[in-house]
Amino acid sequence: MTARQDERGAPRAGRRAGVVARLWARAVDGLAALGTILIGLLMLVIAADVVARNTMGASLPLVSELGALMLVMIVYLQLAATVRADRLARTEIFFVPFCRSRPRVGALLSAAFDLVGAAAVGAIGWSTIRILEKDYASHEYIGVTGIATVQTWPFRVLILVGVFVAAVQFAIRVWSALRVAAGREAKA
Amino acid sequence: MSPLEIGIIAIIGLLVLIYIGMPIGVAMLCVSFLGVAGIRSDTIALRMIGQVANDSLREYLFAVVPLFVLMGLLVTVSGVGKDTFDVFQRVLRRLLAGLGIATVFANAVFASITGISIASASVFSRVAVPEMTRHGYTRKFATGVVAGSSVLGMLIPPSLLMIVYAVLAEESVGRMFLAGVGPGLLLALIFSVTIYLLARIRRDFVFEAGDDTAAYEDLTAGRVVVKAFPILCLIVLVLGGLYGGFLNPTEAGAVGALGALVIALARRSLSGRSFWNLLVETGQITVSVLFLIMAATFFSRMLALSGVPRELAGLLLSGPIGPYGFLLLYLVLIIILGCLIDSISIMLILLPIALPVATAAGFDMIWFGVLTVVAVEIGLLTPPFGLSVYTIKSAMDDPDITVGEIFRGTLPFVVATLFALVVVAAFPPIATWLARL
Repeated sequence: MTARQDERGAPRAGRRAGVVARLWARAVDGLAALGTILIGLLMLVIAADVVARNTMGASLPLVSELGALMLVMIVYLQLAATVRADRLARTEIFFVPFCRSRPRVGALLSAAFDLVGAAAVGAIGWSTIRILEKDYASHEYIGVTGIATVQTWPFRVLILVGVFVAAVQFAIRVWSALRVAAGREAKA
Repeated sequence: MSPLEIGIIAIIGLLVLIYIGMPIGVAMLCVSFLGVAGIRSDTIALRMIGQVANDSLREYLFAVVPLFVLMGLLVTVSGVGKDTFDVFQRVLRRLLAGLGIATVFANAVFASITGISIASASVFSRVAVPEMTRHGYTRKFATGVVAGSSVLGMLIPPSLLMIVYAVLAEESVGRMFLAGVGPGLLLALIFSVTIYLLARIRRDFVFEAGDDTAAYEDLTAGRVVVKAFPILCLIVLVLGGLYGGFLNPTEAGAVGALGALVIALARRSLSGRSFWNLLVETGQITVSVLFLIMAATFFSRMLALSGVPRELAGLLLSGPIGPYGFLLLYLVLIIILGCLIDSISIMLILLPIALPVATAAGFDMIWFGVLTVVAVEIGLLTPPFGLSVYTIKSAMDDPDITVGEIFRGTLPFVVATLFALVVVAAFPPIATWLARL
């Protein structure tokens, strides 16, 4: 339910901006949906592994390594949607009353938080590029050679995409909070 | 500036940022980055943040988080909680304040198939509170019992907090789960005694004036069995699999989630749409928990570089405070923070600082973990930010009942939990005996 509050974060200047905002919201939703599907898949894969081991006496190949990578993907694919829905844990003891009594200064503070968020997640993305290059160049893989192996770089690409989308989502929140702070738009 | 000074400034900075409302994970990433940049260099800080983000979560074990969360949400919608309550109500109804005690035990059993307190609080506020008020219990008491016994959810395995502690302290999740069993049962017992004594001594706190004339729904023995069956299946599947050595914690989570899904489908309490919403909700809880764990990993690496935990251990343990003074200080700090911050965040902020000190003090880390979890759970019940209490308030959807009323009803259970904390602190085997067996 909280995932649908996106329109608030979208700048409403002109129709083209509206289209861009809608496409962006679609992209964030799409990544999150992929992450959501992965959760169901993770459950099935692990349960299948249990059945295989206890009935046929052999584990399925790759499950534990793949499970670990899938989990990292679940987190980063859904990070942008979580940021947009404002679901990252925070304390409300000071912030909420402060925003209520002084909405514009509160919006400025919120913009500062999101700016730090954008920078931190951006830094993660920036250094993930290097890790991706290394994985790609050295053909980093998981699994056992000769039985089943999977290259890791496609996963890294998805992680990278998720991280950058999350960074941009933080930046969008900065922008819309600044508009509130400037008094252009009433706080929704 | 020396690394030590940088580390201290980073901790203070973190507390200030968290207080003014910056998302906790973001605040941890930010101060840790600046800390590492100050101690070493910004190139190293950049490299470290990337490494932590990519690799600290790449553990098969962490898959346990979404799986147990999904399982908890599934059993919440499937109505299994109501059945558990019905069974205990049937068994305990002749006892004084039997419904209150039934709520405690139903929670204890429900806790063994879900790992999140909030799930218990929201289920039982809809199931047990109306039934208790119908039988002449005060609303204050009814909601207090539900809030208090939701704490059991985090002690009795599977438990999300135990998983988080095990990860940070590098203990085995299975052992941490076992360590929660003894204290969980102890707490259930203490709660029951508390309820019984309240009903005896402070009758007006528990009951409205007038006698209980409302009829009980009569369950035949056959119906009791039918109602108890799905829960027992799930318990056998998850805990039996875990301790029988058939499943590791991650697999227990997957099998449990699948089992809960089957039960929910069999009872037709799940549509495609609502299942998708549950998965989305699972995703958001997972992201906020694991993002915090990732940020806390970075924070603890930064602290290790700064040397603060080592210095702190020296200062606290050799000085007049001593190991047990430190323990007291730590538990009090958790309970105070519990008034402000949610449970997982408290653990992720404090444990990177406290774990090295506790290790240096020679504490049994399993025992230390159980004490941490119990203390953290007290925070769920104390004003002004007791999360369980707010969950109950929003799940009840009844404008007549105020948050203050629920907090007052919860008070006896806060005292009882504090008592349990002291008992477990004084007798470590309650926690460690089963785990070290």
